[in-house]
Order: sequence, then structure tokens, then C-alpha cells
Amino acid sequence: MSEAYLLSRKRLPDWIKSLAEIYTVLGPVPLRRGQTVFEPIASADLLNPNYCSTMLSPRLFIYPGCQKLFTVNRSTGQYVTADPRTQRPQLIFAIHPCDMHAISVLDRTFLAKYEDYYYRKRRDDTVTIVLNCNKACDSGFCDSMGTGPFLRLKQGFDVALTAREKDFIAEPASENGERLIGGRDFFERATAADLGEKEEIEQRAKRSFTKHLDTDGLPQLLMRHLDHTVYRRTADSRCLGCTNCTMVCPTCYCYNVQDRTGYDLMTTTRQRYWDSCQELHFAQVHGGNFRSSREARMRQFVTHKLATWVEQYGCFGCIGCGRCMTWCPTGIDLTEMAKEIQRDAAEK
Amino acid sequence: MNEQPKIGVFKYSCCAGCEFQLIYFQKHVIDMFEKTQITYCRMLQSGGHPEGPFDVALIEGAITEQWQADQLNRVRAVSRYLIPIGSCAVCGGVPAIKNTTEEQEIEKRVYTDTSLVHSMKTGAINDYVKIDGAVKGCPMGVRDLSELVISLLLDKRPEFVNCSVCVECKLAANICVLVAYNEPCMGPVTNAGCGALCPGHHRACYGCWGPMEDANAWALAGQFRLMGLTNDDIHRKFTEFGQPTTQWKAGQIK
Amino acid sequence: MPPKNENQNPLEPQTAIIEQHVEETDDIFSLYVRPQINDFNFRPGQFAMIGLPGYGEAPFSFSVIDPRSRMLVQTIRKAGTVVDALSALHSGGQVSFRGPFGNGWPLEKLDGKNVIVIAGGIGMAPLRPVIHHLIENRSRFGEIYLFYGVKTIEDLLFSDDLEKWSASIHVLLSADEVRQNCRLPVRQGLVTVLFDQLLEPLSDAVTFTCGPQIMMKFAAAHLILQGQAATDIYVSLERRMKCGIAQCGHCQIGAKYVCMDGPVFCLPDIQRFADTFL
Repeated sequence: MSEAYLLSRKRLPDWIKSLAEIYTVLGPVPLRRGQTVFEPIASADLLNPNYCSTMLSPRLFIYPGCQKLFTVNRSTGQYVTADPRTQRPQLIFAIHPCDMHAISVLDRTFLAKYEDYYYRKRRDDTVTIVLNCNKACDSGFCDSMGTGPFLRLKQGFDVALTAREKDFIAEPASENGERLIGGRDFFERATAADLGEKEEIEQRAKRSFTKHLDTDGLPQLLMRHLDHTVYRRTADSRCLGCTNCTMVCPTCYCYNVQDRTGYDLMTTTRQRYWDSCQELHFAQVHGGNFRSSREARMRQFVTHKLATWVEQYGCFGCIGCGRCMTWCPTGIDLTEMAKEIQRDAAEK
Repeated sequence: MNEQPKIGVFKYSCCAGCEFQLIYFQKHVIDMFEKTQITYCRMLQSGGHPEGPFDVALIEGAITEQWQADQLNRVRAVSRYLIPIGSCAVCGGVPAIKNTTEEQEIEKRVYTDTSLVHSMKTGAINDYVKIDGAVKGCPMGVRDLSELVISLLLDKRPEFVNCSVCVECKLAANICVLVAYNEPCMGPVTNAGCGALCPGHHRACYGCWGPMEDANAWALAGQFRLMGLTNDDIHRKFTEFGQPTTQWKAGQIK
Repeated sequence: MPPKNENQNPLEPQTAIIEQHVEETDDIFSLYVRPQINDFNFRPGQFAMIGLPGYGEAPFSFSVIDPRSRMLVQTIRKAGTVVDALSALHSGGQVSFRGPFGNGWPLEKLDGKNVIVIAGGIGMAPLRPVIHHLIENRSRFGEIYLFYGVKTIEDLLFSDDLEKWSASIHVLLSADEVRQNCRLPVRQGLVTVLFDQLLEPLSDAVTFTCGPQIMMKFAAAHLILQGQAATDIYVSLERRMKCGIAQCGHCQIGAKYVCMDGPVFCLPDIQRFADTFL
């Protein structure tokens, strides 16, 4: 087991400053009226480590919403691959455990049998420093999904932080993580007592959840009730088909590809951008649309996140961050849909 | 396409902003003058050949008088593609607000002598003729316009933006004004293409690009009511652009 | 994080040269394509993403796979932006090429069995290499039936082949409209009208089918009623994939990616999901 360290809150700015010398540090910054957004920061002045959640998860730094793949000269057939990397390597500071889990979920899609060139480059070029949550957020249920409030991953990130009143417990999880801590005089060794207190904080955080979802047998149950009326009812009365749920979901990976040609008619740029299964044209083929009804699209979202993802990737596609229901203009809650199906099945 | 495609631009009831947008757009792209031939466009040049034929007829404005409908039919017959440009042509736009009131009452509000007015209920272009796509927007969007022109030159079907404003809004990382700031935003039922301009400035979308396909106007109207809007407010929101459309009908409660 | 895989970029295409363009019917044409790749390893039922820069790319299956001349044939129905652009190309032209992708037909399941091949319209194209395989290795199989349904006789693909094939396998044709004569007998109606010609016990047969989903649905239902095990029926599906490598999400049906887990599926394995129309 690797060592744990302590960083006093007073020295946090020093650490951020030293990190910013090497990396573009992306941290949670408060925005007007209680919102928080991940932005490049040069110092800790702007940083808000007590943030609850952000609208977009830091997925966008590794898998951007719109990404250039390559340009091709239409007359010579010459391809020039786009370099997905940012000018400097980036460091995501204070990413919450659910969002870190989400990146590990995305890894299973993009770094699978076929490896996505662009995702790999960005992923390798990004350092992640996780900040465990000491308190449940309003619509979060990460405890139920096994992705929080404290990080349960063993690898795939660099440092995990736990906030205490006066300091942070920092646990490096990679060589890179060791390097970010080692040789810096503002870190002290943590003791067994410190780690014991971390346990206590985690238990307290777990007890603060008001939202729960029983995932035991849930995938099988949802697949047995594909025609449940909850999908139809929700799709008709509340779903706007606006795709906000999937746009803010940190594990959604679907993309569309488009060619744009310049006015010279010579240079074509192929780019990809986030697409959504909630969008009408998503499942369109020539002569038909396999999910032309909003009901079918809603069922696709719920069953994919909570059922078929498990068969595909061995984990849930939902990491319990609650973004889809928070940012749905009509507040559609996928856990409520799942619970209704669970209740109906229990009554039968 | 081997020869320069011939383009005809026709204007009906509207502010002429889309035609202006076209000219503005062309000034930026000098190549376009070399690659296409605008054979009829009243704002650009006098004269021209309104009789056609056209590879593409661009139609601006809504249909509010019979002569317009008659000419539109003639234009359709001599055009390979006919594309409405801008919200008035695509979904009725602002001129269609008058559809919500009795025709004679509207006429009396503006003219003292209505004997010379031969106006009828406002219709969109596809209420009269078959269309081959649409460049939406108020004024029409440059992204779709350039897609149209390049597609024409490459001889391919244009891929117009056809999702909700929310998609572009999220791609632009704007904080959602509806959810976070309780603004009655029309984004979820409005066709994208503007790059989420208003939400990008912390303003609610007012739907100027008209409805997106399969919009759930009824559900959004319900949400607006929960947010405290009156039926009158909601009715105005769904009739400001796109009164004649089916997609926003369900929101046009009164 | 999984270990790094030093592969090249799977989204960036290679170039392939068009050797020949053949008009098959009014709205179907074939492109003979030679991909510039070292490892010529294509199986019947697999597909490649073929396209033209500026127009995009689309999935196409192979109607001929010839490793000797390193040639592939795509037989394509004229529909959509990419196809419109491809249909204007002639020999010497270049296309972008990525592939092969997908699983292909499970040919190994056919050994020692009676074989039923059901094709509808353009669905004949990905089944043609299957028939080639069956005829080349004729002695390894029992009775072989090809049921092929089209709209009109003019839509019949590969008529010369059909005649040749009929020497060694049962070739049975149906058309919605039979207006003129054909060298082979054609029955009027949907492909299922031909099923009374099936003499063998279906319990020992394996079925491969490709065509409109409604045709596959009814053909499969018919065969199951007549005693065939659903697990012996394989269907080939079509979706609008963008990547071909199980990442863009467009071709998902439940837990399956048509591009990687398919396009050929054992019927019950895909029927358990929603939105299949099967």
C-alpha cells in the first residue's frame, strides 16, 4: 500500500501554484447564482473545493463535445490526423468520485477492443486529483451505485484527497501522483489515526444520503418489463426530447460524425460531436427509424444506463451523480422510473 | 455539378432580413460569386430572370396573399430544388402571429381603408408546395446556408441542423437558464442552428428558429405553467414564431 | 485503465481503388474495390465503412470476397448521400475504406446440416459469398435451399449466378409482381410462399437470412412454426453506424452493437431486446 500524506489547508495555494507551473489546472470555480464550473485556474484564489456538482462533468476535458478527427485533401487524398492534445498537459483538480468513476466507465468504451486514438491521447495527457465527498449532494445517489461518496477505484487516477477541517489527506495512486506530492515540503506523512478518521468521515457521508436506488437484480427486472407503461407516460407528459439528460451525463459516449468541406471544395474536415439517443434522428436508417417514438427513446436511456450497460461493460452506465434529473427541464428522474417498475413487480 | 448552379431568390411577406443575410454572406465569400450564378434576386440586382429555370430557388417570407401562392407554384415548377429560407418561409414566423386574431380585425388595426388589402391567413412555404429542405433561422443561419451552398456545389444532400437548441447550448457549456435561473426558455422545443445565442447571454430562448421536429410543446407548456407563467404568456411564446406549425400546436393553449 | 494498444487510428480510413462499376438493376450497382491493405482477411457477412471525403461514409457488406485477386465487391442500393456520391464513381476512382468490421456469418455452424438461405431484395448481396462457400464445399452439407424474394423480376440480382447455382442447390424465387418471363421459375407472392418446397425436416437445418426486417420476422416465424429451432436462425441487421468499432452508439440494440457483436445475430439473442422489429 502506498503512503498517505497531509496537506494543510493553508498550503493548498502553494500546491496549486506548483501544479500550475507544469499543468493547465482545471478546478471547480464558482459562477453566478450558486453554479460551479470547471475552468483553468492559475491559483487557488478562485477555487471552490466545497462545490456540490457541476452541470457538465469533467468528461469534456478528455472527450470534448466537438472534436476534429482529421482533414483530407479531396484531390490528393492526403489525410492529416488532428492532434487531440491541448497545448499543455492538463490536471483536473477536485474531481468528485462519481465523475472519476464515470471516466473509468468511458475507458471501457473507448479503450476496448478498438482503441480510440483521440480519447487515448487526451486520457494519457490528463492528471486527475480526486476530492472525496464528505456530504451527499441534493440529487446524488452514488452510494447506491457504488461510485461514491468516497472513491472506490484502485487505479486509473493519480491522487485522492479527503478534506478535513484543517487539512487534506492525500493518497497518491500512481507514479505520477507520487511525483506530484513527493519532494514538496508542505506535505507531511499521515498517521494511522488520520486514516481512521477518514473512515469515519466516509461513514458519516454515507449516512447523509436521502436518495437511494436498490440495484439488486435491477438489470434483469428492467429487461423483463420493457413494455412498462412508465416509459410511455413519462415520454408523453414530460419528456421534451431535448437531450439534456444525455448531454450532461458523464458516461454518455455516443457521437455523430460529420464532414464539412471548405469553400475551395478541396479541404474536408471530419469532426465528431456528442450525439444523443434521445434525439429523434439518432436511430434513423434509410427507410425507417428504429426509435421513432419518444417512449422508445426514453426506454433506451433508462435500460441502457441501468441494465444493458452491465451486460456490455460489466458495470452500470449510471454513476449516480443525479445530473440527468437536475438538468432535465421537467425534472424526469430515472430512479423514480426504476422504482415504479420495482414496486409494480413486487406487488404482482 | 458541372456548370455554375443558377440561384433564384424570391421574397414574400417578411422583413427581407434573410435576403440581406444572403448578400452579407456572399460578400464574405468572394468564391461564391465565381461558383454560383444568381439569376434573380431583387435586393441584389434589378431585372434578372424570374421565369427561371433555377437549380435552387430560395424562398424568403411567408405566404399571405394569393399572388404569392400563384408565383410560388410557378417557381416550384421550374426549380430543381426549392428551399425556404428563414423562419417566415419555414414555419410562418412573425407574420403568422396575425393568425391568432380574426383577419378583418387585424386589417382594421393597421389600415383605415381595408378595401385594397387582399391578405389571407399566413402560411409557410411547405403549406403550398413541396420543399427540398429548409434553412432555418431569423435571419437564416450561416451554418445551414453554407452547408446548403457547399452541398449544392458537391451535388450532395445537405445535412441541416435538426436537434434542439439544448444540444448546442450544452456543447457551448452554457449553464441552463431554464433549470438554473428559472427563465422560460423555448430551447427544448426549438430547432438549433443559432449556436444557443440567447442562452449564451443568460437569456431565455424565444424560439425564433421555429419548432424542431417531434417537439413536445405540451410538456414544455406544462412546465412553464408550473414556473408561474399565465396561459396568455404561454400562448404568446408558442405563437411568436411557428403559429401554423403542428409541432407547437399543443403549446398554443388559450 | 487498460494497457496501451499501439494500433493506428481506427477512425482514419485507407484508400481503396475502384476496379469496376457494374449496374446490376435500375437502382442497384456493384463496385469492385481493391483495398490497399496488407492483411486481406474478410469473411462473408462482415462489412466495411466506405465513403468519400466530403460526403461521409456508410457501412457496406461484401457480395464477393476474392482473396486471390484481393478484390471485394460491394453491391449497393441507391439510397442516401454517400451512395449517391459512390454511384457516380467509375474504374480508377478512389474511395475511403475502413474495415473489415463485424462478426460475419457463422459458416462453421452449417457443416453436416441442411442449409436454408433466405434473401430479400438487396439482402441477397451479403448472402452471395455464403452461397459461394456452400457450392465450393458442396459435399460438407445436406440439402441447400436458397429462397430469394424481390419486388419485380427486374430486381433480381445476379441472375446468371442464380442459374448456375441451381445446378447444385435448390434455387427458389418469388416476386410481388410477375409480369414477364424469367429463365428460372418465379412464384408470385412473398418469399414465404416458397416454403412449401421445403422437404427436409427443419429440426436439422440452419437458416441464414438477410432482407427487410419485416420479411425476416415473418420468414423466421414461419420456420419456427414448421419446427425449426429459433437458435438455428441467423439474421443480418442493418443500422446507421458511424464508427464501426462499437463507440459511436448509433447501432446499439439493447446490449448489442450491430457493428461489432453483429451484424449477424442468432435470432433469440437479439429478439430479447426492444426496438428490433423482429
